[in-house]
Amino acid sequence: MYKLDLADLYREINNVLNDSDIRKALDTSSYKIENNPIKVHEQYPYLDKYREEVRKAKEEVLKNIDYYIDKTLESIRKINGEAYYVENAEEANNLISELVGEPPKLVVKSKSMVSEEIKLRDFLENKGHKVIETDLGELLIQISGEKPMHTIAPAVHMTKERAVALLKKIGVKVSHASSLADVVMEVRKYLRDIFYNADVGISGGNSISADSGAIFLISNEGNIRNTTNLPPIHIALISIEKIMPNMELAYKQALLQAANAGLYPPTYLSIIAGPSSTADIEQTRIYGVHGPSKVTVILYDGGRRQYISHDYLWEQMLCIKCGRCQGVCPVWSLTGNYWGGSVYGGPMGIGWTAITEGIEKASKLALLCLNCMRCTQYCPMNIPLHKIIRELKKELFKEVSY
Amino acid sequence: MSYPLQEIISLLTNNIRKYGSPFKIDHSKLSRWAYELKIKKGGDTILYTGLLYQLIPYIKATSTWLNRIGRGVGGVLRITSRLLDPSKLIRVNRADIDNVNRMLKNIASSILKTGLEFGYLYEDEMYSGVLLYDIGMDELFRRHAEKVYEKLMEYGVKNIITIDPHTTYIMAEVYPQFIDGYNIEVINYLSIISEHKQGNEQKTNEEIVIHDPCLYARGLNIIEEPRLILGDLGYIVLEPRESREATYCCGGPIESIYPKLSHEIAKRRISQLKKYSYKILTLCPICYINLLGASEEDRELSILDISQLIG
Repeated sequence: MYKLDLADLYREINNVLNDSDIRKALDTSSYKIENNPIKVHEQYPYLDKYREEVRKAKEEVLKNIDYYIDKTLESIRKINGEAYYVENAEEANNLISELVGEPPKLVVKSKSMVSEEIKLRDFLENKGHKVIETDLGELLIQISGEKPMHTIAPAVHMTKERAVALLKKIGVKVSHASSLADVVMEVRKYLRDIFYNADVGISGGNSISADSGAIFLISNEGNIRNTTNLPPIHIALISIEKIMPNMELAYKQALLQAANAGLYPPTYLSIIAGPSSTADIEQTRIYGVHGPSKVTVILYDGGRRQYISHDYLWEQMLCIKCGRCQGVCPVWSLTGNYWGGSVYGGPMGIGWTAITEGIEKASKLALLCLNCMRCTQYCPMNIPLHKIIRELKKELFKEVSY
Repeated sequence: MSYPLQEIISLLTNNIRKYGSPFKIDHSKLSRWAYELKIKKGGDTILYTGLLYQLIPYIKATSTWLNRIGRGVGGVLRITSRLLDPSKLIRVNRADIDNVNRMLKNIASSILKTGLEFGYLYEDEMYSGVLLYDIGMDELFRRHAEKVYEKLMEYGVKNIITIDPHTTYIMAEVYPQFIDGYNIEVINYLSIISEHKQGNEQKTNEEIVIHDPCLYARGLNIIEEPRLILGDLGYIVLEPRESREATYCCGGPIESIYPKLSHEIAKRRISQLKKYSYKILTLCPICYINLLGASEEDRELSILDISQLIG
């Protein structure tokens, strides 16, 4: 039996329970996460059909993962992108560091959970690069040094006052008298020059299609367009379970994630298939016009492949990381991602923590699950999340002699 | 001091192993409610309480202790095996025991009114083992479930009428996965009595907000039954936003794992419900006790279990 040393977790959660700011923010956001997708699905009923199609496609990809990884890499190269498959965080960080080049470089990042998994920002900063998060929520997390509180909305737990205090630290011209609109405008000004001067843009990916090598990226702030378009080099770090068989299904997966995060239609959907180019003069193709001249896609394993044939964790990898299960969970609504591993929290986060940080860590977190089945009820991919969590609880007591 | 999770889990599970339920209780006392009704012992079809309602007074008394421990009051030394031994530190309230006995009598009477004949195992009735299943101690759970099944076989039981969501779910959905050849028909009493008029001439016209238990709503599809019963009694049933399949947990399942968090979840649920009515209806002893605990600060609230309205 694992030792049930949960004192640190209890201390962190107790702090959250006693913090009225965080409580208020989590309360509002969990209400929205629960209810906004309901309205979206009512207004766009075709989305319901996507659920089954996307789940089936993801099952197909997982069953033939090696084939789909190879096919995706090949497709990316065909459209003049660079493509790599990496197994772990160390390989991923070293490769990205090599691609970024000799320090110091200015690197802009859009939000990516996978980059959190490999602690990419710390790695590049330690190499001597300057790294700036461009998603507003993630920028706040970067300044505060915390972990993201929600997959889609990393700073859900912060009030405006807290945000202002943090932004002031990096020189954004805001004060407590600033309106929310002023705050956002000042962040825009602050990031403008950084975008233009950045040497490298790093993004994640909501989907990638195996048949074309195109990446799908959803954004509401517009920061992803700037990150992936303005710097001369774009690196996309995407975990292997985001691979979809073709363009159509990749598109549906991306839209479904947006819809279940309650943000629909998403303001921007970028489809990136290789570097920018022109052949307008003398029919000679030149790479790097307004967009990057070099696009590199890195497919990241990070422990996933070993669990594809696992008896219950395989199903976690059908997750599109919309975060809906978090907002509907009575525990998460009070704790945020403090009930979680170092990156993923809430119902889906327990399974993802098992995959990315090990079963022992996840099984201790699992003990706090109510087994109320709300997560499973709302999951757009019909993943039996509560069952995965109960299976993890069982791991705690496997070695007990009775 | 940090919450002694490991010790609490050991105590509860050891009690189940040694005494058959999470608390060290004299089981003969737990069937006293049935004496007056002269229910026969044993039979093909029996009422099966799974002892969950009977545990209410003990859970209530213990949760005060757990909460104090959760807040860092008391030391590990003082909460050794004496903690969950009601004869020592835990004081069970006589009024709570009377209350539970009335609830059980009402449940049994409401089934009797339908004309259905059933027996009861009295002191031989056993706890379902739900706590072991919930925390993932499957091997211990399997052994416990086998003992329960043996007892049922000993009495030649074929059908059981269950009265709470946890025991119903465990015995209808989970036992078949753990016991080879399990052959017991499980029916929940709400399904039985919802098909019969409650026969109350005097109809109340009161509004009441309903709190669906997670397991009834999402695990067993017992949703319409309580509404039919309440409607028949003349209640105007108010549906909160988090109702039916979207119902919200009362926090009860992690009461012993993390009392403070459990209590906060219950408070959150109360705040959702009281937007509709100060009269809150529960359908489960765990929901009842947990929501009751979270409503203490609000004197206007009344938490009523369906077992207090029927019979």
